Amino acid sequence: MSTRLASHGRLINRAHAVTFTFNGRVMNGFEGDTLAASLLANDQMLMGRSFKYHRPRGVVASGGEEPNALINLGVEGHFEPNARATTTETFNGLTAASQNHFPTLEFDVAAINSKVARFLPAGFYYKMFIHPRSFWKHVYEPIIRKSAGLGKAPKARDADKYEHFYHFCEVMVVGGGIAGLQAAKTAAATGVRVLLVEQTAHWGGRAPVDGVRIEGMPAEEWIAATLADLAVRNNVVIRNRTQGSGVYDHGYALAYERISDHTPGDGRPRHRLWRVRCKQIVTATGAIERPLSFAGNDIPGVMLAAAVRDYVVNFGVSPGDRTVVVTNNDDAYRTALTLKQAGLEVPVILDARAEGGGILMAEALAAGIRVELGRGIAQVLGGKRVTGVQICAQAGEGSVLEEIACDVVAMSGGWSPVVHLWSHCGGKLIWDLDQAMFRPDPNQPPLGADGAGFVRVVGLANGHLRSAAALADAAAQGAAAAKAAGGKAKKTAVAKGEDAEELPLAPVWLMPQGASYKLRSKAWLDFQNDVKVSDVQLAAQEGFESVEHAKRYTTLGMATDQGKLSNINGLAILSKALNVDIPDVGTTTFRPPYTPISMASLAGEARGELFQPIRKTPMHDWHDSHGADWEPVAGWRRTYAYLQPGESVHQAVQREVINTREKLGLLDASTLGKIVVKGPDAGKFLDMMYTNMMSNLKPGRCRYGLMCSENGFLFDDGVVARIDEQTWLCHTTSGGADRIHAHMEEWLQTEWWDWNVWVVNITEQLAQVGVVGPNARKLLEKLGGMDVSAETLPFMAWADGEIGGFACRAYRISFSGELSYEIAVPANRGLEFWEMLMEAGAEFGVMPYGTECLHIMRAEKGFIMIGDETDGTVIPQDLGLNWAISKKKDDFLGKRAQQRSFMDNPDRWQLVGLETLDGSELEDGAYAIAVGTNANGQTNTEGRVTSTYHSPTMGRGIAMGLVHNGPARMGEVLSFTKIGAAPVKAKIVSQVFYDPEGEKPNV
Amino acid sequence: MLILNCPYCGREKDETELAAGGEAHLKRFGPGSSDQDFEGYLFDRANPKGLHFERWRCAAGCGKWFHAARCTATLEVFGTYKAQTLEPPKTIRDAITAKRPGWSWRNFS
Amino acid sequence: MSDREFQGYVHVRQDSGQCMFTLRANLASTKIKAAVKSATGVAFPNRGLCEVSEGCTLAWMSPDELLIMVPTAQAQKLLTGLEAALEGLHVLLEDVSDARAKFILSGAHVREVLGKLAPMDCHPAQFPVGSFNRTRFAQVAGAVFMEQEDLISIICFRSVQDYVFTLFCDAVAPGSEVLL
Repeated sequence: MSTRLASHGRLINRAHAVTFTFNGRVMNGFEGDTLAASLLANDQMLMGRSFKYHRPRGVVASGGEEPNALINLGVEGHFEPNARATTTETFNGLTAASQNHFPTLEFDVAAINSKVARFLPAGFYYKMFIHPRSFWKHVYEPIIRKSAGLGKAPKARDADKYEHFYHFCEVMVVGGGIAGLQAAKTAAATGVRVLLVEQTAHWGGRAPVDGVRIEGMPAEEWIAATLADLAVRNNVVIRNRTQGSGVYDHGYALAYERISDHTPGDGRPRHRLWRVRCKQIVTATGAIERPLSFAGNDIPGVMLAAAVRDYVVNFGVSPGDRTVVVTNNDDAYRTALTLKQAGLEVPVILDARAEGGGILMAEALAAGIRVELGRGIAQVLGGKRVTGVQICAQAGEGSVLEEIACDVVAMSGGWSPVVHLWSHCGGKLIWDLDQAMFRPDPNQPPLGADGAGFVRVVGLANGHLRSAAALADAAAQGAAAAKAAGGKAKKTAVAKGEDAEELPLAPVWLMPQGASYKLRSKAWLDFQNDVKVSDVQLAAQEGFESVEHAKRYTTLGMATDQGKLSNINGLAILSKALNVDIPDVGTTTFRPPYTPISMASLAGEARGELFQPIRKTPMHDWHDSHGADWEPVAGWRRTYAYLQPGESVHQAVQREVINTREKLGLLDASTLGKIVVKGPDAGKFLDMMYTNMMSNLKPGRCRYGLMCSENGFLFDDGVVARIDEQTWLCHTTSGGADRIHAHMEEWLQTEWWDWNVWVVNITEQLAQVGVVGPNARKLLEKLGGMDVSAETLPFMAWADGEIGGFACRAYRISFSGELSYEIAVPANRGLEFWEMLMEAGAEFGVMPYGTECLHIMRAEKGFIMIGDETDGTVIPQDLGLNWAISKKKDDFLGKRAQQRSFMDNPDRWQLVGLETLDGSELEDGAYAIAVGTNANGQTNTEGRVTSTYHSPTMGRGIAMGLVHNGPARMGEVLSFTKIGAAPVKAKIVSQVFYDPEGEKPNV
Repeated sequence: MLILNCPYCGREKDETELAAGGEAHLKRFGPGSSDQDFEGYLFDRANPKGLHFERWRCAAGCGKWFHAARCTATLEVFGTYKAQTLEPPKTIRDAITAKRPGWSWRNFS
Repeated sequence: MSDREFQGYVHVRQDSGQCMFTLRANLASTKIKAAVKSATGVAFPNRGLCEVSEGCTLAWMSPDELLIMVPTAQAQKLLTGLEAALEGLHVLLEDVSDARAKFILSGAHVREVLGKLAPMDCHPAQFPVGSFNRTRFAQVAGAVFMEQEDLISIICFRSVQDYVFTLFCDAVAPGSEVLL
């Protein structure tokens, strides 16, 4: 039985009871409890089932290292699986459910896996599921998928708010135990900015539980005083419930603040991810107690010794009436003393060391506790709860000397410093033989931007298990960190810590040391993933000698706790099996985050409406309220088609084409890039940028231009207008505006920095409207203003003026093959201008049209589209655009590349039009089938479709494609692939399907 | 995640504000150049473990291209400098020499 | 543009009453400095700073780019004056009033709101009043001008103004105070 004690409980507020449910059962707890403490207080030791064997599991630890007590927390939009009961604060209304069992926690049918454990050894999955091959997809994978994962995946959308916070400081201190407080205090005294974070709700770490005294007072008093001192300093930021989760390059660190996990629904964000930049990081992350490996060490009721002490002292919870303590060190004696002092029974302390311990052992003996030296546990008795232990000699093979009844086993295998943050960014470790632990190697720290170490580890985490040494270490390194971060050296007093002297531990990696296979196959290393001593030994036997391989083969340390309890024990077993020293086996790589953090905190504000910025033109809302079917284009939303009531998208597109060809269409062309290029060398510069000549363009005129990369490939096109002697305006594709602007800047800044040219991207300054169709001029003339006649404003000319009272610039350019004006007005007036055109155009049959209509009209005209006809492997010559490549210029970007033998060669795939014999549409991307097969046995191809549409103008499918020597093969019929159907025959024709003479726009 | 000091706007910029631009100090070869020179200009890139000269753009900042001398293995930054130069300035070369005596990179040392 | 606003723990307001001009020019040139100063009456800003006088603001965008902000009513006069003063010099002056959106954050905690969205050190010692910085707000580029201890101007591109407004409204949601 576990229960609430009448005494103890320094962290709980007994005046404030809370109610929560576990598996539907209503339970009571106190404010300040962790859920694990509350559950134990309600005699709920069984908290979950293990991953592989579905073994019953109870809580084993009291902090973030907990492998067993994982729960489904919350409901609906506040649901989270795999929450650790040990780090979840209990609050009124909390809803928790255990996971990984069917049908109930108490009775789980899959627990049969445990009975067949000898058929499920390490690497079972790899060995079993590869034969027969065909079974994988339909038999094995579905079963494995069904049994994979512990908690349930959330079904509802996360209802909480999350955010990021960029924080800058000189020194970040991770860990609010006494070492962290001391380091922060010392660093803060130098005047530098200090951030101190602590993952739990409480300050001081283990010291108050372990009875440490500082400066002659109980640790608790010193902690409160130090905290108060830090709180009033304006150069210090302190945060509890905030975990230093990861350390990255150049002083970047993530801290994970759990703002309202314990106060859900209070309107605050749930989590805040601190993205910290600092000069120095001090980690005071403490140490984690190691379990001992004996048979039955996973039975509910077997707990870490310090955790047992935590539950009594911090929460006033007794894990059980009779606790057997088993240890290889002095620290666990504190647990026995604490229990005894709380009025609970400790039938025996089993000390694996033949000589036993020091002062603390003497205290235990004086308190009347039986102590057995050189003894260990042969096997724990019990199923869903410990009922007793069988005692054996540690030196032997497990012969039972005695059976002792108990309901809790408190085990301690020594302590492992939490070196994770040190290791995240490359800090190396050394093996401390005396203390049997890996600790940071101060000579091999993670390196920062200046080439010097930027992480320091202090206190327990640095291997100082005694408070005096830990505090001295923290003070010294806190000062050193502040100095390295630019702080002024200042002498501050080091707090003096006192605690009981301890004798050294004796490493115990297996209990008893000569345990039989039967015992070893019940001695758990990784509780969550069900990895036992025998599994690691099998891995070694089968040749998995690298610790990283053995880890993956056995899944040791691959559970959600990332092996916080199992890693060191596991690699000690591996080192023994391989007969090498522990440091020669090495550790697996520690990777951030330290414990799992919420995915939503990583997303921060970027969800829902803020998931991705959507660029909107000045007329966006008009389109939206007029049936726009949206298409994403380079961050913009453009209208694909305007749907009228009852219309399908296809019908709308066809209607828009016909209306524009016959009457009048309006296109929102505001997304087109508009870049002003000015200066005495602007003409020379544009001649380098474009394949054709731009320097000889006359002011007032427009020219279509092509841009290639230095590798010769076509990557943007558009109309260039010469504004005046020194100024050009370059239109780019919608997707190209930022890219081309950056491209121009790059060449001006890094290659031709002595050329006098300025570039400004004015894309968003202007709203641009295409007024297209036979009635275009009628509309503009009706509105009045500038002269838009063919004589004054001929095809490929532009002019500034006024239309209908709007100051504008009008271009006579056409991408549709119709009479067409593109009119630019200031963006702020774009919507008004558009609405005026719509209203005045009614009598001329005006309709807006979208991007698909634009695409069809340009394809009917055989105009190329960047991204359709080009894909980064196409040169202008492939597209029949030789006319736009200047032969007069010595140089332009891409010219040298196009002189390479394989580009300066007609033997390429080149652009043609394609007409199916049956009038159907070819598939986009379909290949032209050629004779024979290639080296891989695939059918040879001789071309592919780049654009394909149903043309309402032609009343049939039309397409463009790149075909091997295409222009020379007019009239030839090719076969094109069609997915899931017979190939389709299509004839090579001119790609200009509509108005081949180009008479329509030029009127 | 790196931070680099933009020599134009003088601010420490976060990697999320910067755009990487590959190897620095390339010499352009245009029409009339040999196939070998052109190939080298277009494709041959050093990929050293250790000292490297790179181009970066202060993309979400002042928009300027600059160069950085840094170690690709330790991420140590020896210095950043303006892009309007054909070779690393002496202050940068000296800073590298202080940390990596006897260094060489392409034609520089 | 509508002058929308939102009252969170910091006040967010759009300010469409400003005209903006981009001047590309060699800002180190004494001729350029003198011309700009004479036309605007504002001291020439040093790197990373803004200067303000009589409602006209000059912001240092890069070594060869200056942002000039002025209330709409004064814009035409200023533009004419600038064009005259810069006549004959190698510059590019463009009206970008419609290409940009401006928001004003005001309240005691403006700095930390900025810190939620921009990867920049907002500490008063690092970003004192008068500072100007180009950075990003979450996923889009923008600029920030520390006008007063409790007042920050934000400038972003027009096309993403809805995103940026929503972004800051979200960041100032009551209850989400960081309170350093």
